[in-house]
Amino acid sequence: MAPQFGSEKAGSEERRQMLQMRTACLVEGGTLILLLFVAVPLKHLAGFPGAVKAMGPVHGLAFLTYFWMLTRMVSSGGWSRGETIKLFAAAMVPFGAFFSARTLTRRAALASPP
Amino acid sequence: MIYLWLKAFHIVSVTVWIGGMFVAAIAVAALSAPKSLPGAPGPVGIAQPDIIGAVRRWDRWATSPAMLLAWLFGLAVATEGGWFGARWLMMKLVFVVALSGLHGILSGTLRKLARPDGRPSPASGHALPVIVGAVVVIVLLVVLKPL
Repeated sequence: MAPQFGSEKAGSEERRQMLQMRTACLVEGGTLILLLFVAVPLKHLAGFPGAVKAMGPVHGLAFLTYFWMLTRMVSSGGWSRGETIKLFAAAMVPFGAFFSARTLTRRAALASPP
Repeated sequence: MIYLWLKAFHIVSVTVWIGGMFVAAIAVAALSAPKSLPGAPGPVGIAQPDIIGAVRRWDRWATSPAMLLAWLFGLAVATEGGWFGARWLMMKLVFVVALSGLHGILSGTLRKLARPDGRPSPASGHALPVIVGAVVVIVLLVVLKPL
């Protein structure tokens, strides 16, 4: 019974990790959208550079957190090189985070039942 | 005055973060050694899962929060001091991102080692010299500000 309990625990931990990763991914994607489609136009069209100055570091922190969580998740195993590159590349593209979030939701569902 | 407080908290966070990375790197290197078998007793008769569990707990509750705080306080110091745009800081950030990535790799490797069939990647045993090298470069950049 003990190994089964251990495997259930590992599955639940993996599921929690995927869901945390999805949150980090959506926060990173959201701050990128705010930076590119709100702060940058405000700076260039409305002459309000403060928006970029505020959003730039926020997005930087969100990206760094996502990058760190991605390396942690990939290093723990179970991800192919192609999937890893897709998850990393999607973080650079506006709205790419939504594709990554879908992948992570699917993997969370496969990890274990809630 | 606020600048000095932010700098002090940044240094404290960095010290805990890098110290924790050393712990994780030493644990991964020791557990990656060929003679290290799953379930085998560790130093002074401590079982391997206990060592991995203790290192992982420290990583989760001390090292990772310290890393997040180091980023936050570092950002605040750079903003308060008007350092953004300085070339030494941009170079330092490259090494900070590399260290953060390496910490992610070590955390993930510890998680993998906690599984019964977990095996580390061959490269994960070489993290220690990389951490030392990055820390040396960062300290030189910050103290000397050569660029």
